[in-house]
Formats: sequence, C-alpha cells, structure tokens
Amino acid sequence: MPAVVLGAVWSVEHPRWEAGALAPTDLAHGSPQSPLSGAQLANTAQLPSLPTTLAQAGLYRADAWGQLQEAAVVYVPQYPLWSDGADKKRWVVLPPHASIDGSQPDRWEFPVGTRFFKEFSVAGKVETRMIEKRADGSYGYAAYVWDEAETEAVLAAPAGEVVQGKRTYGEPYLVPAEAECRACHEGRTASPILGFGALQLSTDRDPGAAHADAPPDEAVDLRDLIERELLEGYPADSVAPRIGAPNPTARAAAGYLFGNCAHCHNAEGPLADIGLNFDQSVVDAQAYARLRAAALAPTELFQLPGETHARRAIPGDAARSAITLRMNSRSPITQMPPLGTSRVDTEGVRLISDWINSLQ
Amino acid sequence: MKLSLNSSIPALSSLALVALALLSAGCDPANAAPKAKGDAVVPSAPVAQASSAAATAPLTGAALGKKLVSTSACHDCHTPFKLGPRGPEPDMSRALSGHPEQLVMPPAPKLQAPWVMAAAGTNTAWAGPWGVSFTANLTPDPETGLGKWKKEHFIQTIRTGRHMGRGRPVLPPMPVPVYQNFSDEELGAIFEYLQTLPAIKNRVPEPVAPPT
Repeated sequence: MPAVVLGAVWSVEHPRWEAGALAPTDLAHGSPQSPLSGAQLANTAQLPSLPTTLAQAGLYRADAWGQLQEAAVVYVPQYPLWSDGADKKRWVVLPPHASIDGSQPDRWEFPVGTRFFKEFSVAGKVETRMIEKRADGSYGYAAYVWDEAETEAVLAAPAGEVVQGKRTYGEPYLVPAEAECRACHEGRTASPILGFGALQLSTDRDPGAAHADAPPDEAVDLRDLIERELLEGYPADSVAPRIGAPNPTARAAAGYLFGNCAHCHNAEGPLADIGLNFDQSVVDAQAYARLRAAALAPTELFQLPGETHARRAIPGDAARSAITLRMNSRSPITQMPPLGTSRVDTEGVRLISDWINSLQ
Repeated sequence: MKLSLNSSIPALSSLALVALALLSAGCDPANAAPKAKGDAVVPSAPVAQASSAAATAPLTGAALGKKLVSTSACHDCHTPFKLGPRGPEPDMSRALSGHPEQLVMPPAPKLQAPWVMAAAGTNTAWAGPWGVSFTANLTPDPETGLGKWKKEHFIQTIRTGRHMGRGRPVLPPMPVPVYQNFSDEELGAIFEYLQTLPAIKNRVPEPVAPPT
C-alpha cells in the first residue's frame, strides 16, 4: 500500500505518537480503497487466482458457514507478533493424509495445499488472512475483509484496503497489500510461515512472554502435532525446546525479538548484511548469545537525535538504545517494525527495556 | 489542525521535477534560460545517447535499463547537480551516486504555508513534512550503493515503496507510484543497467525525522 505509506509521510502535522499514525490522508481522495492505478495492480494479475471469498477458502465447512471444518487445527504461538492489540485466532489446514516435514527442526516444510489462516478482530471481526502453499512451491497471500454483520468476508484488493467503522472503534485499519504480506513473510530463504514452528509451539511455554495468550484446550503444541501424525521427522524427544537465555527476562526478550523482528532481522534474508540476527533456534545452543552480541554491536545506520553515533543496545541504558527508541516511535522514518503497526507496543518496549537495562 | 496535501503523489512528484530548475544550485532563472532554441536547460546526458538503431530492435536487459533510466528522470535527483556554463546540470562524474556525503546540510529552513518543501541546489537533499530525505547512491559500490543488492530487492523496493521491500518508506520526492507502472522486467532491466555503472563510494546520510 505504498500510496498510504507516502500519504503518512506527507502529512504536515505529523501524527507520530498518535494511534493510526499510518492512516491514509487526503491523498486517498476520500476513498477507503487504495488509489493504486490499474496499471500498478496489473503487475500482480498473472498470479494464480485466489478464492474470492473466505467461504471458498477451506477454513469453514462448505455445508455450514461459520463452522470450522474438521481439518482446521488451532494453534497459538508463544511469542506472538504485535498487531496493535488486535485479537487474533489462527488455524492451519493440511491437505488430507499429508503431514509437515520436521526433519530440519528449525525449517519445517509444508505439503502443497497447506493453508494457514489468521483472523483479526478489533471491536469486531475485521479480516482473515490466508497463506497457501502452491504446487510450484510458491506461496499465495490473501486477506478477506469481513462485512459489518460478520456474515461474509471478501478478498481484498491486491493493493490493500482501509477499514474504518464501529468494528475498528472508528480508527482506520490497514488491510495489507499483497506486496506487504511478502515483505514480512518472505524475509528468509526458508518457509514464509511465521509463528508456526518448533520454538513457537513448544510445550515449555514462556510465562514471561509479552502478550502471551493462554492457548485454548483445542490448540496444538509440538507433542500434539507428533501424536496426531501431522508432523513427521521431528525428534520426538524435543517437544519442549526453550531459548537458552541466562534468566527469565532475557528469555522473554529474545522470544519477543524472535517473534516480532527476526522475520526481517535474520542471517539469510535481504537485510542479512546489517548483521542484526534475532533468529532463535531449537538446535543451535548459541542462538541467544548471537542475538545478544548483535544487539550490543555498534551501528552506524541509525543516529539518535543530536548524536553522531548510536548503539543498538547500550547495556544499562535502554532510553538511549536505538532498539527501544525505534520500537517507541511511530514516525514512518524511525519506527520499528516499519509496517503492520501504528501503535507502540508498550508492553514490548517495557520488556526489551528491562532486558537492555539488565545487560552488563 | 491537520493539513494534508490534497493532491496525488504522482502529481506532486511531477511538480517537484518541474520545479527542479528553479531550485537548483545558485540558479538564476534568467541565466538558466536556453541560449538557443533547442538547448536543454537540464540535460540528462544519457538521453542524447539513445540511438536510432534502438528503434529497430526491442531493447532488453541493461540496454533497456539504460534507456529507462535516461528517460525516467533518475538523474534529476540521484545525480548531484552542479552549476555549469548554461546553468544547473548533472555532474556526470558522480552519476547516480546520490547526495554527496561531503555536503553536510544545515537544518532545513522553516517554511510558510502553503510552502511545504525545500531542496538543496544539488537536488539531492529534500526537506518537507516527512523530515529530510537524501537521494540514494544507485551505483554498485558494495558498501554505500547497491553493490550487495539483488534484482529482487530492487523490484520489491519499488513494488512496496519500502527500503529493500520491507523497511522504512521510500521518501518523497521519489515518485514511487509512477515507477510502479514499470513491469518487473523493466525494473529488472533498470537494476541490470545500474549494476554496470562505475561504482562510486559515497555514503548517503540516513533520513532525518521531522522535529518533535
């Protein structure tokens, strides 16, 4: 949704600390739709077609709209992505008789036809996103926008949409553009599925994780996936992996950075050269030490106001650390994450600040 | 009060480009006027190199990229302007290397509405409601340019309007929505051409957020 992004940066009175900082401005010509032209949209026209309604997408029963189909498996990652406080529900639907290849514990391979769904609610249901694995190994991304009555959800435009009304408390809500889906999900060379992996589904859930939701009884963890033969090749004695951090604050902080930042800040994607690897692992015992070292490394890319040098994390001084300063901003130039959020995650900032202040 | 520009980004970008000659370094509009019919005030040097032979066979790859770069105003911001004998002109010895790191900009001037933006005479630093932006080094220098970029990163940057397709917004006056009309093939050709340029080591400053 580049036009919306640019609209925000053109706003003369900058809404940097306000909710909805990335709201569309007059540049959207008063339309709730993104103003991308037909020619711009045409660049995605050759993609394989996606179901045009959520009813056709395979999450709910074909004969009973609103009732989950039997194959829909509920899961809750222990280190969830901050989405401006939206309530989220997640499901994976595997093809019949298919299973996930977990022989590489950090890099699961999903069978062709797998579909992941995530439902976002604010005051009411707003959108349900879907990722599907296609026969050629690529992934398709869709967002289905619910109507006010929550009776149907329709495929959003590839350029994204803006929803604003009672179900969003009157605040503009940005449904991502297809390119923005890829921006976050395709920041690694491995599978673009985020939030559904060994560490996220560990039976040893982190009690200090930010925004940790207690999983409902029907939610699966690693043990369940193995027992139900939905996950093959994964070492059965490793159902309780945890981050190898020295204390609970460090564990939760590393989990937060993994769940919220590592899809871009890793060692294999386009941003690998900046040397900020927040990935965590269920097999690499040095993952936390590596994350800590990366956070403490000097950086010259971002400068604190009025200073010529910046550090990502200054031990004992979170207030002057670039990581927390950028997490605490929603100025488009400065904010982290750079997309998918227009409100500061105060709980996340507090957690990361506690961690940086505890570092020696 | 919340003011926003009641116009489209492409239109604004066009306005910005039209304004370049008047905003350029030490440019006196009277002196900048063409001295003879047909003279270009702001020559984009590579335009003159487009050969008539190109019309007979479709251009591809870097050759296509060269033509697109030459005709799509890339030089107008990414090549620093200098004052030549006929007025401002792109300094082709620093072609497409972005805002010169030696040119440290003072704080942006305070503007009176409806003025909303200002530019350096080089056309490489721009101030507006978004803060201060500096045009990027598009040469293949590995440390300060696009030397470590892959074609897909370049395409994703234009497609998303975000740095490397996933970071901060690409800032005004870069006319991203205009360039989104390029196909992936055309964007890829532009990247191929940029990778053939002489690498120029020039570390462009990071953008500056607006004052709080």
